[in-house]
Amino acid sequence: MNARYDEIIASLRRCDYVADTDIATSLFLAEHLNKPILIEGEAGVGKTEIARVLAKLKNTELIRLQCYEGLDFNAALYEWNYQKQIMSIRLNELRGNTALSIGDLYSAEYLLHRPILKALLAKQRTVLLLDEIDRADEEFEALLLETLGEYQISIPEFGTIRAEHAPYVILTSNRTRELTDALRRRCLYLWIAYPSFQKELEVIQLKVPAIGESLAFQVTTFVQALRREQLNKVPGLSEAIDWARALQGTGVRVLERAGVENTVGVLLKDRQDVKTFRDTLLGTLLEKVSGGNPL
Amino acid sequence: MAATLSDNLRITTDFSLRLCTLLRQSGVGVGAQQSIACMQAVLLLESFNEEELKGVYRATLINRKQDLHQLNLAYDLLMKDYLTPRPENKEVPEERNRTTVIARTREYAGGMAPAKDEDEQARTEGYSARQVNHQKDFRLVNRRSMPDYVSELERIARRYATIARRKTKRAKRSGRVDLRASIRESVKFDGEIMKLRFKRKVPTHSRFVVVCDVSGSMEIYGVFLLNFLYHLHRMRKIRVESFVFSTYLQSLTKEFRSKNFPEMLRNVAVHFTGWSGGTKIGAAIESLNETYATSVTPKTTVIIMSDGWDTGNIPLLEREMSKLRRRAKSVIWINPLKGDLDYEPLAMGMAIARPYCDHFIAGHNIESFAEFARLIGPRD
Repeated sequence: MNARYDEIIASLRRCDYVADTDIATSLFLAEHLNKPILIEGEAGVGKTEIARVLAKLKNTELIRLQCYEGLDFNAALYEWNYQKQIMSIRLNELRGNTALSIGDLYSAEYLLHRPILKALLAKQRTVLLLDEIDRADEEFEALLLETLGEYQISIPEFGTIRAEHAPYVILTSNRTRELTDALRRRCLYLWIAYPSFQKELEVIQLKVPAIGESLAFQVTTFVQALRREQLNKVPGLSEAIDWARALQGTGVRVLERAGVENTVGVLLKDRQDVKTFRDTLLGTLLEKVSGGNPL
Repeated sequence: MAATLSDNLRITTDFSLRLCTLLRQSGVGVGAQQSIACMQAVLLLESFNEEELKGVYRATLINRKQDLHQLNLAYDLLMKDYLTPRPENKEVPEERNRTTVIARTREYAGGMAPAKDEDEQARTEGYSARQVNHQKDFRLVNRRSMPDYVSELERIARRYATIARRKTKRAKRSGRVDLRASIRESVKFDGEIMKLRFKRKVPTHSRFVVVCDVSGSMEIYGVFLLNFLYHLHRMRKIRVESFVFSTYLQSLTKEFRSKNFPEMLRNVAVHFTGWSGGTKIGAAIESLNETYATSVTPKTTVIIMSDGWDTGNIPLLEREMSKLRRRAKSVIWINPLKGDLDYEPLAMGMAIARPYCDHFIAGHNIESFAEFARLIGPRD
């Protein structure tokens, strides 16, 4: 194993994030090749968390842009402060001052910094997180291309703003729609699958230290088995952590029916799933857990 | 030592370049930027450990999960080729590679993907659109020409599933004032806002819920509709939730996410046991309204495919249809029997449900599916 990867994994671990080689590779390459990372994966596997942890690791600011349908450059890149412009024009008229030119109106003074511009103008390398990019419209992706490829923004009235310190850019997607090839090509790609048994166990023990080894083992076995069942919404790693916290908080020491039934709402978020779970799955899964074999 | 390093580097670079070529041949769009990034990464790492190289390739060469499998295939193939001694003729591995190039069916519409045409050709090889009679009732299609009809349906689904959306658009006089555009315009008049510019919201597109009857009387049409739905699903740009019912309703949205149509049919068959039973439309719609309540929102278009022969509770059907109509954006009923010229919606269930449907169309041949696709497709 490359020592540089080990170093990244160890430092992520210090920030309470259990990473594998793929994640380390991506972070290493992103830093050295200056490329954004596009992270895809099922819900709740720690996509967004990577950005948070990276910011902590680099001791820098995390600038987050939550994408949504209809998001446009006014909310994401920059916007002119129209109100201020109008007021300046009127004040100018009232004072009979002729010094104000169009160039003045479109100067830095009237420019509002939205997250992406803010990240480019920052005084140090920040982490820019474009969360759930698949929720934004396809047209919005085209706006990002310049930023992602060159770390600059061209503002027609103002000129081109180039980043002095290119930010670490992280894009996450839940694959609710297909992203364009143009966007994908500019990024490094990272797919995060549901964690393996070992990884999940490690994460749960790390995040919920009070849980105790045997319950952590049981919880992991249970969740891993549950993921194999036909469910509408498969619980992710974050649900597993929450569930472990809930169990620990409610004083459960060993997984048994009552304890699980009380806390099932933390794990499953769909009415149909909860019903199937209560009716059929719970019994068989508990049997598997008490069997004690990791699946 | 230095010689070894440069040798390794040369071999690795060569390997990586050939991997890029091989991937492109298999339909994975590896752009120049990506191969450059890959080379930079290889140089940066100065390590030639197999696992690390694979990690680099995963991060740089591919950009969607579906391509991961292709990458592994190509890597193994190329590695085998490197490890087996071979005669000086370099054409041999190329040929071998070609045979393994899979005609990929991408899981997205890919309007801009350059490989799309090739994909399409590869998939519909040996088929000509002229052989398919668009007016022919599906009942009369023989087993041999079924694939032609299926691929024709796929073509239609692909065409209509591509939706472009934007939030605001310039409007003439109504809608919200577009301050930005107005200020920009005022530049012409020395900063005086002479006229306001407006913008209006462009309606976002619907979600679809498809409820398909697979009872005995509908089986043959059901297969075609399922196929049509399957291709709509694969486009991803349209959000479809699918349900099938005969005596009870079941969500099969997940089963539709298979890699190919036969696999999907198998999945559906395994998870739905009510094939070709009787029909209880009322109970099915009730279950849609109650159990799957979150699927139907005011943005949802509900598509029901059934012949309306109901063996269940008629008052229940009426109540549930009216409830559904109130909750959904619109309801489209596809009834293959409507293809008969002298058909009238007299079947008890159909007569009750008809007033609650915004559109009532036939689904008995390709032409009617095209009409259906136009109905649900984007409007300019």
